[in-house]
Amino acid sequence: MIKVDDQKCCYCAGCVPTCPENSIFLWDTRLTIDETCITCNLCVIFCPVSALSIAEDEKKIA
Amino acid sequence: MKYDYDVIVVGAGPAGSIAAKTTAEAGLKTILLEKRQEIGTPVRCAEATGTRQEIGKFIPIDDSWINADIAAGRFISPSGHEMYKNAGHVGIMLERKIFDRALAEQAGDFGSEIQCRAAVVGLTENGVKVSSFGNEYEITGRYIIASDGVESQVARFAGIKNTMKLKDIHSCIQYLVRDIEIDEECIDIYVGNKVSPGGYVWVFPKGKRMANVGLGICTNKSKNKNAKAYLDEFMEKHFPKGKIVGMVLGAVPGSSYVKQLVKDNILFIGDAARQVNPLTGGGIFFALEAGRISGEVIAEAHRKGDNSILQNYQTIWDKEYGKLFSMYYKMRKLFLSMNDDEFDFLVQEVNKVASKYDGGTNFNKQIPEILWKAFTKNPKFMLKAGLSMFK
Repeated sequence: MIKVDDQKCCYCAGCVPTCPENSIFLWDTRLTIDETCITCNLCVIFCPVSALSIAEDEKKIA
Repeated sequence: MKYDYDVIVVGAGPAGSIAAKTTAEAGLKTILLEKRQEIGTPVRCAEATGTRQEIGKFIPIDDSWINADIAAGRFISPSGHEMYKNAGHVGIMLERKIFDRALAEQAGDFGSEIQCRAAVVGLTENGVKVSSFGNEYEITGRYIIASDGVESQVARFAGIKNTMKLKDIHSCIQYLVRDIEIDEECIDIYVGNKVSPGGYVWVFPKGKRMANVGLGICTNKSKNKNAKAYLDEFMEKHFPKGKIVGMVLGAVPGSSYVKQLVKDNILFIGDAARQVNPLTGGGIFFALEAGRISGEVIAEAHRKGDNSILQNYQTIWDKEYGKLFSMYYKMRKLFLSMNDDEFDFLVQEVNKVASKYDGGTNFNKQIPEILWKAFTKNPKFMLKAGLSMFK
């Protein structure tokens, strides 16, 4: 899963079209990522302010 | 079947508002839905667009949403070669917050209904599913216009794959900067792989000593550095004393527009359809055009009771803009392949060629020609350009 750092996210929704699974949705100023996320990392690479990252627990597995 | 509305427009940006205005004006019962609580904020735009004349075709010009008139452009290459061109009135700088509201209000004035904080969360057999303040309900409509921006969900609900590859999308950030030395009529564009790989840095005037300073990068070409880091570096070098009074982020499509602009009774317009110049990232004018054309086509289909007419939107768009988009997309591919020496060369050559052109309202159409003439001065470069066309 990818997690959102609310301190960094400026809710531009630019990550949404990069997602091949359509797992990301912007509710007004709140970016949500649902369980369909396949951790492909594309949104992480795209984000202009690096607000997205792979959740710590998954990093350990990888 | 009795529908709640003839037309449901999803998203109240420039594309959606012009579409709603057009269908409402034609007498169709129209509703404009906006998922945010306010129209026009937060802005995701560098705010430069076409001339007063071009924009005036869609809404009466009002100085309350114009920050500056653009009369000149300056390209700055990696080694600091400059190409400056004063071309008369080539465009305006918008205050999008006010502009977007004015466009939505105009749609309302022509009879469209408007609902804010109403997110479309799905499609139903006869319309859309809306979520607003914890309530979910259906709104039915004969036609749906998807103007829900770069993050378009309607396309995905309709089963159209509109995922963007990283190479076809710009990761953008912009600061609104005060107290800086700028030419208030000139847009500055910095190119080069060090300042903004796969894109460019813009300094667009917003009035006295004030400018939108931003950049877009292609994240395929940036090395473990985000857009913000590039912009902070640029600011440090060029405007260390500038005061940042605002911040804008977003994704700008760098592909051509989506192949399928119409699916059944759904028409895709604006950023949702990637109707953005892939080279320059300019999309406001195309959004307004798509809003107008889609609205007119729906009005005609409705009047004649023939849904096959909806395909005309695709036909008209392809005919009017197909070639322009594919040419800009090819040029973008070439730009992505260029190194800094080639940028230096190009800026110097374009400088020589461009002086022969008059600018004015056809500037958008002249740019490819100007660039092409410059390319052809260098055989090696021309070969590279030629090859990139076939990639």
